[in-house]
Amino acid sequence: MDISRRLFIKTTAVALATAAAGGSLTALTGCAAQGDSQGGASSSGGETTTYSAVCRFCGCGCGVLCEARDGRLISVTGDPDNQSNRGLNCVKGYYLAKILYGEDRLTTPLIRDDASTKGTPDGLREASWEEALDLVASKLRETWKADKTRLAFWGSGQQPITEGYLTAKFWKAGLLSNNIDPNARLCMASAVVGFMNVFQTDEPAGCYDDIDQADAFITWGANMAEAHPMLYSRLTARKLSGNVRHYDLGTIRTRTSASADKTLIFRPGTDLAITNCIANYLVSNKLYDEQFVNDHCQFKAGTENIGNAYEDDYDATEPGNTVDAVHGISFEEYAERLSAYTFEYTSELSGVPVADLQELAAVFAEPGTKIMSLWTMGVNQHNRGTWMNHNIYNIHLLSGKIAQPGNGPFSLTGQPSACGTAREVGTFSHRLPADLLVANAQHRRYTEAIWNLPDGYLDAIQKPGFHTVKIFREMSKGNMDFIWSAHNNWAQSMPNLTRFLGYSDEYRGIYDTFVVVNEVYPTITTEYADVVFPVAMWVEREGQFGNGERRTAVFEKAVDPPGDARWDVWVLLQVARRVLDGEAIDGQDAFNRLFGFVYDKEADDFVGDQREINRRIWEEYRVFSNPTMNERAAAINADTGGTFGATLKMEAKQLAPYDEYLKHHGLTWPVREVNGEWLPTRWRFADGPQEEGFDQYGVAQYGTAGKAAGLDFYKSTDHKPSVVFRPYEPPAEEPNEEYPFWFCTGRLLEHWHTGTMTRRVPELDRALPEALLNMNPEDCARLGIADGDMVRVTSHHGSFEIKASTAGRTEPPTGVTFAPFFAEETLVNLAVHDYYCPLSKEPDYKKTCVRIEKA
Amino acid sequence: MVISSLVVEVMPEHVHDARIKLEELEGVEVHSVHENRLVVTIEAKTVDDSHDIASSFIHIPGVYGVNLVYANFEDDPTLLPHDQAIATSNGGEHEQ
Repeated sequence: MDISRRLFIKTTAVALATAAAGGSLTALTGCAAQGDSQGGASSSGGETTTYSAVCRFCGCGCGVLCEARDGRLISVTGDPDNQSNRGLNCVKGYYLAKILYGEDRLTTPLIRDDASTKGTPDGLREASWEEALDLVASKLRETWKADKTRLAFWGSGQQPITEGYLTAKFWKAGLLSNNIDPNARLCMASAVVGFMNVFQTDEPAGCYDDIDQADAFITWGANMAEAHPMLYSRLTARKLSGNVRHYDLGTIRTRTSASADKTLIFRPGTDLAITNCIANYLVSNKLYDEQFVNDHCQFKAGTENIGNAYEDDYDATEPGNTVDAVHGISFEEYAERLSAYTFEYTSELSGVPVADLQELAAVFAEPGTKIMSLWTMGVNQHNRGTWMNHNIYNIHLLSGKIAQPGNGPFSLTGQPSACGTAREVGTFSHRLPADLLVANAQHRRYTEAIWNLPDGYLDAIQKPGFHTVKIFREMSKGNMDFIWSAHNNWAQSMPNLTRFLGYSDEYRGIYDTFVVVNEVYPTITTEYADVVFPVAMWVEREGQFGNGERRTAVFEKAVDPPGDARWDVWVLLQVARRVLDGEAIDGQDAFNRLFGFVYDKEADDFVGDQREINRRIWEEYRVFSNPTMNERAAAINADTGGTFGATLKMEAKQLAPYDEYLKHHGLTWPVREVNGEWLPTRWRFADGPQEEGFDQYGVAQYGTAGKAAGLDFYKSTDHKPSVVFRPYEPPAEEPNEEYPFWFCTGRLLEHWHTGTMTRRVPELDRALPEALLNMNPEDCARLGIADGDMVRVTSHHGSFEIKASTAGRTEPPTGVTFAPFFAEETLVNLAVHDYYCPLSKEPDYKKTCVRIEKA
Repeated sequence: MVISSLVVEVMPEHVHDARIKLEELEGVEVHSVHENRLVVTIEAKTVDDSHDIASSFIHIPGVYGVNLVYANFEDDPTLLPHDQAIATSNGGEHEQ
């Protein structure tokens, strides 16, 4: 690098950081190395091109600008125009580019000829695309024609929106199969069912801006300092601004506890009782917000004593098939049910001192105090995960601290597009796009209208398909013939791997299932694959992510994928073209009917470049939230014929034209067109000027102004969210003589996504090279285990060896242990049970009971 | 040389001392202070080294936020295409 170039780069670096520190970064856009990236890529100085993108490393969804030269990325910059992060990235940003350039990137299709080599690094040979596609398509078609229940697609919160949308369309409309589910089932399903049950619409009312205005933060089983560093930095900054409190609740002490004002360590599972205790305090002392409750809340109770999915047929039996049932109750009945949750009872159950519970409850009774609750996996990966989501909303609804700036229960997400792709697109076994359900006739009619299908065509899929655990339980029993996964690593991230990877003679199904994997690097899952499709990664193609604050953002294609790696959409359409060959819908060629708008079957090519293909897919998807774009859909949305007795209010998730996202570097939905401008919404259901981020047009169209706190929950039944009483019920397993310890697993800062990408980066791997079992020193002393000793961890389900540590990243209390799940050589999920929340079907990764012995 | 810039957030009472600690680190410069936010650059040979240095900031008393703003790695020898990497290792023109 010559001196003038070096000086230029350093000047740029200082200028950008200075602007970010002073909060005036937006004014600098267009200066120095960054071109004006409005409307897409831009060139600067003739030699480099800058593209807008979104970080892919966690659920925060931070904007980033990528500069490329000669087909390689040469710099990254926090995107000042993306309002989720305003120009700041965390240190993981250093690796955004490097992760593309690992030496073992997959660049050629691979085929396994001998299934007995599964589970080893050997047995895969290179193949042509033609051979690999023909093989996969023939296996899929054969299975499809023989028995549709024996095939499945397992997607990802790493998939861009348009890819997830097209996959769902192929599976649901093309194959008429609901056996499609995302890895978001493992992280966000409890949050989703909680949202649907309480509000009848998915995703939070508030946004990240709430962090800058809250007076008190409560983290519920969430190690934000490691899992959401950018947001935690913002939380810490807010705390410094004055009299702001932070209560951290969890089963272990973490880096997040280190900076909290108070940490409340509770016995696993008793968070249900703690939330009910707070509700009981508010209700029994009449310290709730009476006007808010009168205007906005309805009260319910549901099926209780629901047990756990110990047996594979749980969902079909009592009480498994009645877990969703609820019925209305009076406020007095709700109060009566809460009354058992006194401070004394809750303290005894949870182990949290009475005084701490009282202090926390009292915060909710302070009228002017703005409270933000934040949670992720501790709440969601819980055998009563949906109930726990309910209970957090309950206390925010009772206290009226919701959907207003600084006030909000906020469900954090774990992956960059868990919201955008898995939830909004509906790549779940029970969903259609935009919150719609396969089981609802009006929803099916609406989808048929947009997909140009005959009325009633989707009645074939009115019954939900297999959820994730079901897919793999069935696979292990030899009941699946074809499983295709994309951008996930299920052979490491699924619980109960002893069963699913065929370690026991009873469950050897994985060896008989034809496994197809779209991947960028070798993983444990590719070791079980019959075919591996090498695909483009991150900015090697154009895509979109939707983050946890409802922000949709486009990442542009900046460089080409390596070798023969191809765009997932191309792979999907190649398989779809072969599988649907000779099939018809309403007398028309099925492939052309579904995908002709993006792919020319005769020419065997896309009908435009990647920008155009993404735009076309988006514009079709966008009709779901803009019913006026399709006459048939508009009539169903408004229920003009009175057939359904309800309007759909699809505009509640309104999305903007594709190019608006490029122009604005991301927009939070609902996005409203006002005088030709598309304006985002930061606070859903809150009446106020749209220009300031309030939901002015949503409330005007479907709600009433002038109710408590200026809110109208217009998507909720009767415009009233549901406060559902959910009791404490014990975890699926509790420690006993044979298995005396709790084992909890989770994520640490340096590694995400089971290490498939981050462990390719030597520095990240060096920072946290091996998974350690964090133990309490007293437990170690009692068992004669010294720091650094190898131990064997054994559950009822399986076992693994790991090094014990008393000085690890987390500090468990006695009786509790923790290890992260990123290390493929330390497969903790061999021992983790696969019991799930009966409502959301999300497994509880946090409460397996184990014994620990010196190895 | 990989050049990157960051905004380092520090508890107000620690700003003075943290600045001194940061400037003691090789390749690290503090350019300005905006209330409790420090504008910092790192110059290091590779992205890995840069990340290493940036990650160490969190251990300086009072530092609570380490935010990456810009990273230019066009000269990182570990990120060059394979043929150019060989040229570099042979003392080729990509030195500096």
